[in-house]
Amino acid sequence: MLVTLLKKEFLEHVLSLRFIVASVLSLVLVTLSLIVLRADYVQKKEAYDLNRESYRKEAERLGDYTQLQMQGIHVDRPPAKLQVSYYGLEKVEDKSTQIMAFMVPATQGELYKSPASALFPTPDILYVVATVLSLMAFVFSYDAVCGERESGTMRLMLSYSVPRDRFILAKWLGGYLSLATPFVIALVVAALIIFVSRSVGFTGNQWSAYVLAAVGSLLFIAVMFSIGMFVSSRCARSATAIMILLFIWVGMVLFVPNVSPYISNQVKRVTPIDVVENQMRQEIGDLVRELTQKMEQLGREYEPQFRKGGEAAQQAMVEFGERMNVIWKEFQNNTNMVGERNIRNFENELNGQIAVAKIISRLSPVSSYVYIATDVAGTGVRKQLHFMEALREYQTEFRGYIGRKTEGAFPFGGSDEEESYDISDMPVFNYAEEPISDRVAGSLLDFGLLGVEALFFFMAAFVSFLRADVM
Amino acid sequence: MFTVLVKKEILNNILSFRFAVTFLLFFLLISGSVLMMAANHQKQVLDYSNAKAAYRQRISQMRDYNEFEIFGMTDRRRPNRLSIFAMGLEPDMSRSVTNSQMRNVEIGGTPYANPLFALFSTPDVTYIVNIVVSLLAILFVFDAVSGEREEETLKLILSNPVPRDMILMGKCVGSLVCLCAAFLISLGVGLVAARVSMSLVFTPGQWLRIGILIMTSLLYISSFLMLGLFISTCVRGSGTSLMISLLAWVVLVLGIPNVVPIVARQVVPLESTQKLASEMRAIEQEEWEAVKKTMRRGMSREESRRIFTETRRTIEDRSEALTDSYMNKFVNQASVARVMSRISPSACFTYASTTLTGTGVDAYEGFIRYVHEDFRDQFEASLSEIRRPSRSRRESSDQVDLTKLPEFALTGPTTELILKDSLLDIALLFVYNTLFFLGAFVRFLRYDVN
Repeated sequence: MLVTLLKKEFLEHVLSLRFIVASVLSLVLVTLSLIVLRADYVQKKEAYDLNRESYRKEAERLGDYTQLQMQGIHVDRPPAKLQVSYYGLEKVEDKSTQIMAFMVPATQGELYKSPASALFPTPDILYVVATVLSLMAFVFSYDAVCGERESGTMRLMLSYSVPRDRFILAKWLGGYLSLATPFVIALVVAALIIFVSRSVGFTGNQWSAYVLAAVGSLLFIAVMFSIGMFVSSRCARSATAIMILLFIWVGMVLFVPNVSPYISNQVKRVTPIDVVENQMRQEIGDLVRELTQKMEQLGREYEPQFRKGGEAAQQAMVEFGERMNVIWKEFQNNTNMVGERNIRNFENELNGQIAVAKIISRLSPVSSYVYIATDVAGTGVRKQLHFMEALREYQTEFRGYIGRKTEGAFPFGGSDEEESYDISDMPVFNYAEEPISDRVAGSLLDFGLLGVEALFFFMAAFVSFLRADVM
Repeated sequence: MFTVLVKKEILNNILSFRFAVTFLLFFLLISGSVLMMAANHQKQVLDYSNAKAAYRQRISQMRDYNEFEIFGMTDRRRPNRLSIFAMGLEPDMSRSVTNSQMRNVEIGGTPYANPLFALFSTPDVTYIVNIVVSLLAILFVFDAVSGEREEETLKLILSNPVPRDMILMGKCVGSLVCLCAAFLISLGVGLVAARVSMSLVFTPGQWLRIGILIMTSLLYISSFLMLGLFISTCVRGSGTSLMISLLAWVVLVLGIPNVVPIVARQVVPLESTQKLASEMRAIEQEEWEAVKKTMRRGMSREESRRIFTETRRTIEDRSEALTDSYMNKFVNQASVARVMSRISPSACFTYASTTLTGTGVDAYEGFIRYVHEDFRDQFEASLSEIRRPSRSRRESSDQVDLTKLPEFALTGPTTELILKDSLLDIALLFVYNTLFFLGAFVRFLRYDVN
């Protein structure tokens, strides 16, 4: 029985114009977006590799370790492979960081970003699903119940011995499958394009991320479809249902997620970045002043002994160098602490704000979906935090390396005495993405939310339909 | 006759459920957005003045030229009030700019630091008009002709001595009046509420721009109405016309404008900014290496100063040549994206509205130019006045007088220029209107009412 009903539903949808529109849109948009973003990834990856090379050369040209510790080495954020389907925060152009021995890393602002892409959202699969397919889910479901009621076929159907629960279940499954099938096909086509293009080359983990994000997409479409069914079974006329659904769609897709960061920005204040930067400069300025004073003082202290000449002066020179190094190391530690403290404070405040914004935005399933897709794909907020941590770890490594290399050497301009400058053993920054299990674990809440929402709205549709009037 | 038709259409619309939903959405979204963005602007202004005060205090305590050499000066642009209506590139233009003698221009973080700002779009009025209002406009009329045919009221009307062109005009004007009234009322309420609760005021020049922005919005809304009408006259069933309207809307609003910028990045490739920065650092390194070789022991202080200044100037010149050519390519890429995306009225509207509010591509290019050229030059020029040689031997370094530092005073383009820049996009919107209307007109004259 269920199979017959399902078959009928599915066929009815497949033969309709909206199915053609939905299939064309899914296939064309998903494939087009993948092709465009794949080329974009290739371009970004090339630039990344090129820059990495040139940063290395830059560091080699510096000539001595003192210079290296002052100038540091630049590190760029590598483009995430899954940006071809879920672009997320890869849109942010600030991706270069200067890693120095005495300063906590912070990304530098970038002005030369394509203004046109900043004005418009990125047309990735996420965007296609969140806006186009969510709208299609409503278009597929708005007349599921009330349409049949209007045309009188429901009365006919229920005059046979068809249980109502079977009927609505078949409606849900048939409609959902007919919407999901073209999308799944589009995803498979997209996967094939990724598979054959050697320039992207997903690893096993990335494939599982791709599949999991696809599962998230299907779950999200299920939520939207259930909402559509629910409204359809509550409304008497299909024209009313589509208007109400449009209202819901605008609110859920275009409003709630977009408003959330602005509301949380009002509710939960964060010290402006300018003030933080200014504060840091001030504190570091004080440290620099202190450093100069201490060094001058030390110079004055040792000056008489240097004047004496002979062995005593040499002895004094060594002692002076050691004490100078102590002062220098202390300065390095202090500046690091200043940066660490200020940046951590700022980040804590910001994380509080992000948390509030996330809670507000989760009123809409679209936001949950966006968090799932970008976090699982490794292009979301989670990745940003993980990357900053990785940068800090690398800085510690870099400091350790510089420390070992300048051990005992006179810190300033002592290039004559220094051993030959060779940075082939310098630690290299290789960003390893967060393991997929952690990323999924972080998105469990949103997966759960979507599951609950899908179930809730389906149950609501079910209950409404069981008691609905067929006239 | 015509008034009767228009009146009938208007009444028909106003009494429909569709209009109720549309009006409610407009009202909630548009006035809500104006209020929220105004609150956001107020906060940005407050943060701006706080940051500026903190910065002034620090600068006033700075006595030492060495310190100034290292840290330089920081300033940023005042938040743009018109960004309430179209945020555009405002978050990027609110970044702090640091000039120092030691390094090239440095750009700070954006005050919109929350990554969710980047993850989601900004819900400003132009966003709502661009996406929500256009959708509602096209849905408003998708069954205007095909629906009446289905209900057979069209046959009835045409059996009376009513010319066909009158009917179509009546439909156009009727829906246009309803939608525009709903839009204007919502926007008006939002503006009044913002004026009362946050004392949001604009200068006459800004009002002029807002006025033109509103006109452009109406033009945009009407272009989608005409498109919907056109589609409605092309098909026979209202179900079909709904699907085709949706398809057209998705392609024009969600498809073309968003795909084009990325395609433009492929068509006009631009090397990464990191590479540019790296090249600029290479120039610096090279020049200082050269200086190291010419420096001798026992060089007088004045002489080493002179060499220092000269080298700085050479570095500036060489970097400027580099940034200039980069900027040209950059502008080129932006304009290719712009030209390509103009096949969609949605892109035209986005460009026109951001140009009018001074948050668009032109303003952004002007901003970059100002940061890298004018502001930098002013800073360089002020250096000689800032430095005051130490008078006594006891002072380890020179004194500094920071009152002469330049202010970040980027005056946006004049109203005249802004109007000129947005003219093409507005004209294109006009052309789209005419085309769609003519299409609908021609189709309707030959429409089969059976």
